[in-house]
Amino acid sequence: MIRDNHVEICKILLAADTSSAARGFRAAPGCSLLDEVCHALQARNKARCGTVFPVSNWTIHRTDRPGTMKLTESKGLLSFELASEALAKRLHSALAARGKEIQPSEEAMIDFEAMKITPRDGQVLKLLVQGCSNKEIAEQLRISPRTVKQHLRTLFLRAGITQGRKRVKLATAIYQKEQQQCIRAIG
Amino acid sequence: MHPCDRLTHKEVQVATLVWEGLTNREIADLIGTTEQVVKNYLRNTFDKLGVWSRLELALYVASHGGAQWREMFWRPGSATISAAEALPHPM
Repeated sequence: MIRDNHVEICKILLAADTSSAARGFRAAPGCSLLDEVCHALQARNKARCGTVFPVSNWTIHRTDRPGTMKLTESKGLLSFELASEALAKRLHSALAARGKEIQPSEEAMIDFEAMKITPRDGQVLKLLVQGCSNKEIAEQLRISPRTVKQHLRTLFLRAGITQGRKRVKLATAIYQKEQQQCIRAIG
Repeated sequence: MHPCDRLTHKEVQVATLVWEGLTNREIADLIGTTEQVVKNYLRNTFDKLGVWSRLELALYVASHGGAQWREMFWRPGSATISAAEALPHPM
């Protein structure tokens, strides 16, 4: 997803020079995007920048000219512009390629039709999409919060949600699905 | 007036990441602050939008445009955006 790309690009772009960018790449094996960017950087020999900063201290700006971008350190101490159209192009295609690998976002990947949802699970989900907490769901269904938790746990497993704030991911995925059904019903 | 106009840029950013299902820790790492600062942002956001939990916030974002919130990172005066948006137009 975008974020992974974001971090990776920044890592590369912030690497002090092409050689350290290359080193950084070797340190992270099996990463084709980094490879791609490294090549692009080496090709242009364009990386001008001081030290490697933590990714989060940097911001990326869009410039007026298409095909260029600007990186600035948070305190504005350092900034440099990537004016290379070729680099931008390669970055873009590398991202596009990589996007295809990672892109199918978890929401989209959940196959609700194939997912086994028992009636009780359905009741839990319905309340979850309304934004209820476990406790509230438990009160509504007259079961214990731990049972609710267990229901959700199996649902996460079946939906293949393993990371992050899982209830949020599941709830937004269901919300999205319901929206799509609504749109389909109207259209 | 868009529902998120009353939020600051950072609050919009954090709300969007909450909507994507990130934990506070992940959000903090991503925007380069600490977990406590993220919590403060969230507290303010909850108060402003009148929600009580991050799940409610996520559903609020989902029901008010969802993906559009990401683009709002680009409101005037905003600096931080995700890389995909910083990337050049497809060539």
